[in-house]
Amino acid sequence: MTTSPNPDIEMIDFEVRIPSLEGDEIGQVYTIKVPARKAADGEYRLTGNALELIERAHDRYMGLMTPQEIKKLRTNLKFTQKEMSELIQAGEKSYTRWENGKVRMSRLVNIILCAMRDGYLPMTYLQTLYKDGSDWYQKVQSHEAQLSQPIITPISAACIITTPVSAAVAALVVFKSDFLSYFRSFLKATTATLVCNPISV
Amino acid sequence: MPRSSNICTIPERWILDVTTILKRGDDIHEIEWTTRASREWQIFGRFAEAYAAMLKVLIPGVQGKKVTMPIDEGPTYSFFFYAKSEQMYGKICLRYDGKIVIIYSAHKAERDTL
Repeated sequence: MTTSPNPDIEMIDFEVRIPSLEGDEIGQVYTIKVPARKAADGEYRLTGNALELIERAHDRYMGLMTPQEIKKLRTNLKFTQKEMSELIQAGEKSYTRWENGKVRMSRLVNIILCAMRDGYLPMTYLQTLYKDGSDWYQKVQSHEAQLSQPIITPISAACIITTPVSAAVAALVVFKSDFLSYFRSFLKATTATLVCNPISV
Repeated sequence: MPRSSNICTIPERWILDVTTILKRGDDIHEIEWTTRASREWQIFGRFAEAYAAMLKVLIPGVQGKKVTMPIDEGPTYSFFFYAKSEQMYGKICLRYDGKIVIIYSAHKAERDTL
């Protein structure tokens, strides 16, 4: 245990517990140092700084984009929160909470956002899945034009897909090996204990 | 909710003070978590998710249980709240100065009684 400049605050070990993929068990445990105050009952108390460190550690170990990264992705695309939420077919309130760090997004949504960020999920494809997005259609077109050649061409059959979950599945089917390679590297980087077996599509 | 001893209606003044602090949610000095409570909650989501879930049930008339802690820092009540489709057990202390909330417990309820 080390002592920080504030005499009331000590740096203590804290076990960051990463949930399993099912979400109901502890998958992995990492120990980080967090600032804490020793209370009269001898227990340590954690406040804002410590809680923020714990949440950042969670994001990092789960491979989640941080709220700042989510916002950066959106602002780079010049989308409003409403437009971004429509693009990935999430509720605007949900999207806003992910971006504000009020709610931890699911790993599945995280994969979709990471794929967008890394250029593996063209927005034109996402746009084909959302029929009413005419007000932000031009933004998608102009952004795609600035990008290098899209990696994958969407197929019309995918247009029937209407939810983010099925969109991710559709992406696996449509994008075949490119997306699977990306998906494997993503899993490898974030969850060392997972093995992504070859998938036939 | 099955009744057990000490079940009572949580005082409105306590609810008002606690919810005012929980709504702010991100002030460094107003909400303290015990290490145990934070260790137990972290698997369910961000800390702000606990505040939001607690705020949904901490309304006038809610039933809770007055709890006496080994060291009395202020009135403490336990209550049930709901998160991720689970019944959760919460235990909160409002310090006597009225400015700090201590979260002693925020985890899956192990029993149906407080």
